[in-house]
Amino acid sequence: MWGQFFKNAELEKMVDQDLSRLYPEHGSYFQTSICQGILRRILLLWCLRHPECGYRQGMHELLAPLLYVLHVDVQRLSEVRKVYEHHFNDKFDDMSFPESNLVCNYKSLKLATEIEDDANTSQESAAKSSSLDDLDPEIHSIVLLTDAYGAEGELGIVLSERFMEHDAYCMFDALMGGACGDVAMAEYFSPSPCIGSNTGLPPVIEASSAFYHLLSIVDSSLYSHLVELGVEPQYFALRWLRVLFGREFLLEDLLIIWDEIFASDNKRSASSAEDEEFSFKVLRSPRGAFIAAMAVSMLLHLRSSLLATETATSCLQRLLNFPENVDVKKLIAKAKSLQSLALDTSISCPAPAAAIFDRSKSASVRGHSLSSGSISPRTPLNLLPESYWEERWRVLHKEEAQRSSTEKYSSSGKKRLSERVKLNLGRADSCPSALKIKSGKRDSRASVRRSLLEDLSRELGLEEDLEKEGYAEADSQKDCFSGEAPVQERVLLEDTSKEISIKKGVGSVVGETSVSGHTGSEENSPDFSASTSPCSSRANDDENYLERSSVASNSSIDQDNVEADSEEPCVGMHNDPAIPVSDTMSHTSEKPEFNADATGKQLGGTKDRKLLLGKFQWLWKFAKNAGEGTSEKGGHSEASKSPTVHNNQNNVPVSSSVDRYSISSGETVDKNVMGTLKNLGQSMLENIQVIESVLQQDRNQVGSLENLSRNNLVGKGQVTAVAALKELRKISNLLSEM
Amino acid sequence: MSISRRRTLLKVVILGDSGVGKTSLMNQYVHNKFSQQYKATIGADFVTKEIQMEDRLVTLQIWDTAGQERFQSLGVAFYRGADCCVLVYDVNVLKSFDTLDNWHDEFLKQANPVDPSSFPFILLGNKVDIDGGNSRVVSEKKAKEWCLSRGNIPYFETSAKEAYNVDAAFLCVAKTALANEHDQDIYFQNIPEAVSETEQRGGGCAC
Repeated sequence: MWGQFFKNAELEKMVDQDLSRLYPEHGSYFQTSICQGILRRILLLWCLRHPECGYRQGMHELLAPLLYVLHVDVQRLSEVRKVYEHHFNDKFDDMSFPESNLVCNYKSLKLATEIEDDANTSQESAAKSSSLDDLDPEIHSIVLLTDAYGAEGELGIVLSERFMEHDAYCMFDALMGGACGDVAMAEYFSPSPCIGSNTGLPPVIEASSAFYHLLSIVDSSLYSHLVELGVEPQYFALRWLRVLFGREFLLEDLLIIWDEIFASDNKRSASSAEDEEFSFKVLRSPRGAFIAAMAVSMLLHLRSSLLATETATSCLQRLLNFPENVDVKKLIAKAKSLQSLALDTSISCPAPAAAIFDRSKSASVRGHSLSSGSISPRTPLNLLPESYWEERWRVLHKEEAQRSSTEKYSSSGKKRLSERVKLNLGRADSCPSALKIKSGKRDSRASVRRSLLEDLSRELGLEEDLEKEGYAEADSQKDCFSGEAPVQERVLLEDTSKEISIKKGVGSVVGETSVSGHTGSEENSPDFSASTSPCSSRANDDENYLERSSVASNSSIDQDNVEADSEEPCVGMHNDPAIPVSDTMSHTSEKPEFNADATGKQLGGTKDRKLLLGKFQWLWKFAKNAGEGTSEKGGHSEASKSPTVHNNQNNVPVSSSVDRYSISSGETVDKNVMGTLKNLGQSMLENIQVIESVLQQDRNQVGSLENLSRNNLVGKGQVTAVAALKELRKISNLLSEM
Repeated sequence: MSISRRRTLLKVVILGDSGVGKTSLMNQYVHNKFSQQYKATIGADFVTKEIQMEDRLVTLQIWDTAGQERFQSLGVAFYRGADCCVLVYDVNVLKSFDTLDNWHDEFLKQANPVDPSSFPFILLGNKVDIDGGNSRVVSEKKAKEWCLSRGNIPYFETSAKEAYNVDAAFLCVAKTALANEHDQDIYFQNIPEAVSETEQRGGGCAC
């Protein structure tokens, strides 16, 4: 008896404490004594009726928006009443129900029900003269709905302040208990796994794993980045899910999101019912799927800034401080497009978790895209075992502390950073080019640029899901087929995803740019540089492509050195789609010529390389790694090395600047960083100019050759590209101003 | 090698009953701000602060946890690898002091540190400003006794509102955690694997 008493007292105290801290910035409504009273009674009553749950922090923030909506509706109605007084002559409310029957069971209820009636009694109204039909349609419908004798029912009764508290309770109860549906918010506050869970995890943790799983399918590069950093989903998802994103958005925005959430059916979808064993609980119903999709959509919104982080700390900081000024509609649209995918996902869960954390990243990532494209065999849930995070944490904690110091002071830190960025780009869109095999500095620059571009192009394309999926599929298809008939395949792809390829074309141009200028002149192929993505150096890639892509998977697995440039194989895989058909066609005929050219250069190139080696230890390392990666390929090694050599040669003009970097890095640390950034910006600007001029040229020659047939599409792509360039310009300006 | 040694990341977890002022303390320390308007923390939140300690640049990663959160639902993730645990109670609320034992023991259970007996804790008695100290129910003496019984935990009386003792408290947090980390370094060096890893990294710095 007394135990219960004290328990309740404690509960009250807890509830009061949280309510006093509820939406302090919205003080006007939520902090009023009326509102506080209602919230308090509802929460206490609910908690007493659900002793197994009790009160958990956050519940009050699930209830508050519900009450707010009711309150706003009632207010609106009474406002309309006040103004259009004479239309409400059927004073239904005046018939005055015996108050004691209706007003729930709260004796302490002190609602100002009179307010509503006041509206009826005050006979002065400006709108008196207007007839019903003159009213604005919205008001009109309100009036009609309020007609107590109307067929539509009685808005006046439904939206009465008398029932507000009651309604809020019922809504809250339904939300918490799920109302026979699948998503019951109360579960997210419970520490123990719920019935029917396959994972044995607390529901909120399971749900966060579920949306990580969804992310892994939608955007594996972002997913692996987060996993690499050891960012466990519950760090931020706990809050996201428990208050249904209430802390991440402004109340107005939140209500829009909730509308979407509640508009989704909460019933378990039929198809997944049979597959319970393999699915996340949250993904079984459309509503749960939408919640997960919303979370993923939010992650994607932060994508670029998340990918730019190198430590769990900075990454989490961004996740825990979701930007306020977001376009909610966009987020929702994205989430909606992901929703069906999420539902499907719950049925087929591809890619066993462990595979992702192998050293052979590109291989596993490829496996990923393959499996999402095709019907995959059922595998157990994509859940990271606790031990993984544990292990990851150990490693990362040490690394993070070290890296944060090293990267500022030495070039190797930079390298690692760029390495990381690159890894994360993994399968990603704007592909690394062969020219990546350069000196470390150039490399890091290129990769940053690439990551920027990737994000840009992503934003610009605003990825209809289809497009993306198609792309993923295309990629994987490519991996399968390119060995046999790369050209046809390319043609096919070109047709299906022209815009993408153009985007990628731009990406690769930027990746190569400064060099491409030289190569263009060296190899005298003006016709190439005239096409959308001009880099004639690609001719080299092109011929190496076959060999390299065929061994790409081997080498990527073989590489165990983290410092090693695991990009090399990726180049083989991803470089290819960047080549527009027009190029490819003409290249194929000229291949032999280039071959000779390349091998010829190799001789000269090696000398160059040796020279450079003396200067840059790390370049040597780099080259060596590339060599090692290819040496296993025996006969192919020559061919695949040629781009390296080729680059070195082209790099000679660049090398002076590289030289400067390496020297200064030994001396003035901060200057170096700033200098690097400045240079980065400047080189970016240069590169942009190159692209722009190329695009300009291209526009003039649009009429020629195959381009004619694709005139329109190319034009469209160009517009996108130009827009992308403008953005790039801004970025580079920013950088060089630093 | 010597450069990287100078920079350290420390994970600090703040625990204590709901409403004792964990979030306020954290924000006072990091942002030098105090607000009456903090919302209840859901799950956990965190901030970072860099401080210079002797020759080292220390990054404090301060995790603010929800006071009501029972450990199991927050998940072991939040406690994993903590370098220091800050226990907070409200000097005006007896219950928040009584539950310290519980927080202390549960933390050790969840975080599972290498050496529980020497794991660095710090106790903060917050809100000493309220009512000029007239409403306080836990005396400094009582708190210090508790600290002594728990392996001589450092104790600070603070006021997040008036920024009283907050900096000093967190400086102590950093120092204690660093000292503990140093011990661990020595411990780790006995493991060949760890040594070789750092050596590799050292080589990377040199070039």
